[in-house]
Amino acid sequence: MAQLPRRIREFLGRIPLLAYLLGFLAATGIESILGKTLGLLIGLGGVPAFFGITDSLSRLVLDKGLGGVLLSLPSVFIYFVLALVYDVLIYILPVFIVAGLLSRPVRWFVSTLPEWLTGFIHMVTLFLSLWTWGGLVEYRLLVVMYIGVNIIMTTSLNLINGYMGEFSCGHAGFMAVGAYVSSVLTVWLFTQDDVFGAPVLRAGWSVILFPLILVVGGIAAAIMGLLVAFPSFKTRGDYLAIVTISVNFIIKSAIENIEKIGGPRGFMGMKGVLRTMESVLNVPWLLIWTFIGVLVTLVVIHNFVSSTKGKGVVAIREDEIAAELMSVNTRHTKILAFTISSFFAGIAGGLFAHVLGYINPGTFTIFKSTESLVMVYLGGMGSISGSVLSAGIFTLAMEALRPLEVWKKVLIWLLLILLMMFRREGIMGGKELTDFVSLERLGLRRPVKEVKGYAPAAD
Amino acid sequence: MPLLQINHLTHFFGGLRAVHDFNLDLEKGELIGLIGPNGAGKTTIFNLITGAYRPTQGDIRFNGHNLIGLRPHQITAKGIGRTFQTIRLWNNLSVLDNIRIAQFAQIKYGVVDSILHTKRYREEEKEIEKRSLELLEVFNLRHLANEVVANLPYGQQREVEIVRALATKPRLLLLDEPAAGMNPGEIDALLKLIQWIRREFDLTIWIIEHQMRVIMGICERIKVIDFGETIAEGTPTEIQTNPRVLKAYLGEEGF
Repeated sequence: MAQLPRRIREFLGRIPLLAYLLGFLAATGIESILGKTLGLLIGLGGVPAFFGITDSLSRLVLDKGLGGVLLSLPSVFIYFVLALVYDVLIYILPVFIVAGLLSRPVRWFVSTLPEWLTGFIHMVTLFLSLWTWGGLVEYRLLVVMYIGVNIIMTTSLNLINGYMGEFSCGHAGFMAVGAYVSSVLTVWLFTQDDVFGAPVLRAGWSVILFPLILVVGGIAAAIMGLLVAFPSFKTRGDYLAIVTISVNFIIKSAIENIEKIGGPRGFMGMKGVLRTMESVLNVPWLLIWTFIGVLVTLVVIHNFVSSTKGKGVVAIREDEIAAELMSVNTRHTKILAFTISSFFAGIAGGLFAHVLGYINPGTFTIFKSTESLVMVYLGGMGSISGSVLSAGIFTLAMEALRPLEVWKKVLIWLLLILLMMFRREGIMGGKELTDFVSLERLGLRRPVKEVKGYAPAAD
Repeated sequence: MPLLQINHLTHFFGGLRAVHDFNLDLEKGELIGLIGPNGAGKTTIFNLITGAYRPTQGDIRFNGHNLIGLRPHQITAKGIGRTFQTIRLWNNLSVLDNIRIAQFAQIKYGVVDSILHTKRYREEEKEIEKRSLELLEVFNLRHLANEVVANLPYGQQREVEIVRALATKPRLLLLDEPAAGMNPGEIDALLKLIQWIRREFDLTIWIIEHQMRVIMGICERIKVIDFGETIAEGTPTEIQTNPRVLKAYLGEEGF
């Protein structure tokens, strides 16, 4: 009997990643066909948005004092149990059954393909499952895109705070630059707007130019990043942190004082841009570009920090004086790190603005920067997979716990205090996911025949 | 032409004169020592040469190039490698990464190459890794390539630091108290290592030390400074009997 759990674990561990992704895709398919019926049948009143967590919590009565809370607990509990039944039937069973069944065929299939194609198939499967899962409840899609934006923010901030060891707390400032520059451009070029007038280009261009405009927003943010990069030659640690806060405030105040883009009232019209794009071709444009944006960010930052040139960033963290004396061009490296980091914050900002459809300077204050900081520390400094995980967990928690109202924030920050007390290194502790599970085992890379590694030196 | 030429080098920290009118012509292939009591200004001279400080006065020429005003990484790229009095490795990185990063100046690919993993990038990285492993092999440290530096014992960290300095492809190697914290047995091994490196890598070496006996055996020429002033220069035997040196080390009452 004791053998059973171990054997199940081993069996599940052998299933390649792609089989799990296909399982999830199947589950989302099943949900879109049967979800609503099942939800009504077991008394959930429809499809639960986030596995039933939000819906059960929304049954808490918070405004009638402690008595109200206690009296509402049974109904929360009952709903939660029912949602659990739903989750098991719709997600857990299909995922594991499909993954288990497909394990062997997928393993064989993957081994016949070149690695780049395998990676591509994984990405497409993941995208399709996110699309079907999100398509069922519009709110889900929004949250998926928020997660994407936050992954970009967190990974790019991790380059500065985790890899370079400086403490930047003004990341939202660069996000604001990207958000405003790209929004103003898209609204000016593609929509009928009160300030900018009729669309400048034909609708067809919007689909092609959208990613380029995001990049322009990123470049504008990268240029602002120089505002931190140059002071960083002379100033470090706490003092540079003050510089980053100042830059955040400068950018926010500057935007507040440009009347043409709405000043403190904010800027909107991005929903119109989206409608223009959808009128050309009706696909989930924003989900596509957020997905691609996340992939590009992860690849760029990973490749940069694992190259010898990029490792100069880590050498600066470990001992800046030694780095400079051991031939690392620290100024050049700092400029690179700050511009790459703020470039992606700008991209995240552009996506965020179009997802939300409305931005104002008040969105991009130090509070927003702090949120990114929290995600970096939650995931673990100097870990890209940690940043991805924490952005996902943090964003989901923020949304799922929404019914708790004010108590949500208390709970989340309390968790952060506990994290700092008991696991300061964050979820991943400076390691990457691939340090725990090899790419070969996930089925992302073909198994290597001979054992690679450094042979011990013969004395 | 001397490899390193220092003329009238003077440096002040605020009102404190750390180095005064220091002159040196260092010929290619020499192995010289700089000794002096603690606080005599020895490390300051190394910091002035490597560009960590900018001298108040005087000039430093290496291989015909003026070094004044260059940033440290540029000076290192010109061929001056160094170690530190207290070990300054990048502690949380692997031994291999420490050696790789020290070849930063030899990188020719750009950021875009590193992001797109172009052919140029892959070739250069392969070369860097190959060279790093070869260097480690030479010092019998190859089996530690993936070990995090902080986990190594003190003696091995000293060795790794020397390997890292060699990875910058120096022509002149500055060793700042390489024997600090070592017992007599380790010191003997270190001195052998230094002489071997000098031959193997065709280096000019300049060692700082404050314990005289450490370098008496291997240096052909020794300079002695005290309170920033040069008080003696000559062969080890000359230095050992020089009254000013004895005074600086042992005080007025001396022998």
